[in-house]
Amino acid sequence: MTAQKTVKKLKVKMVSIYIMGKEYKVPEGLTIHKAMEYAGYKLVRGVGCRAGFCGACATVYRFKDDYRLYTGLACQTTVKDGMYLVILPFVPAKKPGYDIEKLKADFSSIVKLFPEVTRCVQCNTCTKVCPQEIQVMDAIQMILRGDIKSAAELSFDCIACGICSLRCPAEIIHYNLFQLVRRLNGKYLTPKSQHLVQRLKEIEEGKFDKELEKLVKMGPEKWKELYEQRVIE
Amino acid sequence: MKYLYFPGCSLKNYAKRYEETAVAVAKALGIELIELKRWNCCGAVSGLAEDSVFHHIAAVRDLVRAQEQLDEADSNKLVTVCSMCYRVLASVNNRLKHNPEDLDTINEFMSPEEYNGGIEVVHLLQIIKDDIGFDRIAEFTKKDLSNIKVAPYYGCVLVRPKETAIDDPNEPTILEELIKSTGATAVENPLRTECCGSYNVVTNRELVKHRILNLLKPIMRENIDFLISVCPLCTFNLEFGIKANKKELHGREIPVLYFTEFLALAFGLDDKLEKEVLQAVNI
Repeated sequence: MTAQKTVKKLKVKMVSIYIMGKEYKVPEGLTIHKAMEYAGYKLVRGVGCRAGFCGACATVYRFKDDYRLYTGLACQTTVKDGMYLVILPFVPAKKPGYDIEKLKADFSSIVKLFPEVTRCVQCNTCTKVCPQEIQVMDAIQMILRGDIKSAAELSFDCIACGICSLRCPAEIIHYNLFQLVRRLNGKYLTPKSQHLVQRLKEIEEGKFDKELEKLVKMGPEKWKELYEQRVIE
Repeated sequence: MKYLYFPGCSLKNYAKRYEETAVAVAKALGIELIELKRWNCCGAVSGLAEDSVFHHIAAVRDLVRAQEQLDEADSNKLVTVCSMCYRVLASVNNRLKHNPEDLDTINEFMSPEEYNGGIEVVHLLQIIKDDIGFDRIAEFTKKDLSNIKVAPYYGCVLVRPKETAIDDPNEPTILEELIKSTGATAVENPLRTECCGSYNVVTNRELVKHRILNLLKPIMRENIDFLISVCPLCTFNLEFGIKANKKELHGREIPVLYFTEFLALAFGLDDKLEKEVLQAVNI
């Protein structure tokens, strides 16, 4: 009873949102995800980490009397009055397979796998819709001029939500392209970290085999105990 | 003098030697080329349809980038080096200056970015001619080129269409003047503004091969040391055509130099030239 009273006292402002065309009254300040749950939806697709990192909840929305199409992540964007929205849980996209060992970090390797990248007309729509505020078109342009490193750096914050690829009039699949670019950058253009090479050598030589074996034999109870006792820096 | 500079994609790829020498030669002449912090492809071709502005968006965005960086330069001129980039950026700029309605349409699409029409697109050759002066080139020339015979090749887009031509479309002389200013001899090249075959090199190499042979025939009688080009695509086609026509040209492998490589050579900036170019030219 007291709980109910508290809610009444707070007088939460309700706003109207339209989920796939149907109107719901939801409390102001909720994220789109929480508002959908409030409205009775059980989130199965179009939901993931709920922390803005996984890219599973790409959402597009408009307001009445506003021609602009807005985008955001359902877990990060709060509802506003008059919001017409839909979550796009999946973006159909080609994803060519490749052997990274056989590729070079250059334009010709990329264009063979993603020939459509040359169709960019530089309309900049991709940049405008990116919820991560990446300079998407600039990254595509870096690929076209063969600057793989800059393309990788510009696209570093990409979470592969796919909104850019849905909006692109040239039908470029930016996020798969960017993943390739970052892989090429990591493999061929970034200096190798020597301590990693050293550690891998130690692992291969069996330096940690005994310790690992000891751990495996301990079993779950002992693991839990060790976990509780671990030193946190 | 500080100028904003638009390199274009080719100069960052297979025409790196063009950019390297352009920046070095400009520096030697007291010109600092400030590369735009952000830029995209110029569009490579600009649409000719009068009722469509969409194909100008790429170029306009580059003009906006220049506008954003204008306070770093001493002039509102945006310097280009690739002749294709020059043509596209200059044509688009020209059209928008004369058609404010088109500019409005583009600005509405690009919103919140907005181009105010305040940039002037120029080619590096114009900067050297107008702001430095060809009469001063001799001051910077360190090598004796009096025995050198050079054939200029303009290609199409630097002198066509007439709205953006940097010289007389039919009888251009800017390259000849430049060559003479170093003390070298400019050989008369009657086909210097004929098309090199352009993008046909991708799909129809035979056509480009024949075209280049025809372009070279009138100057083959002259014992030229090398050709001078202003365009990455022309250079690509000329180099391809000279190799492909080895038999027809009786084994003569005429080097093709960008005008900036020629100036770098004249100025004694040998360290800015590629080994292959230096060997081929052998001065």
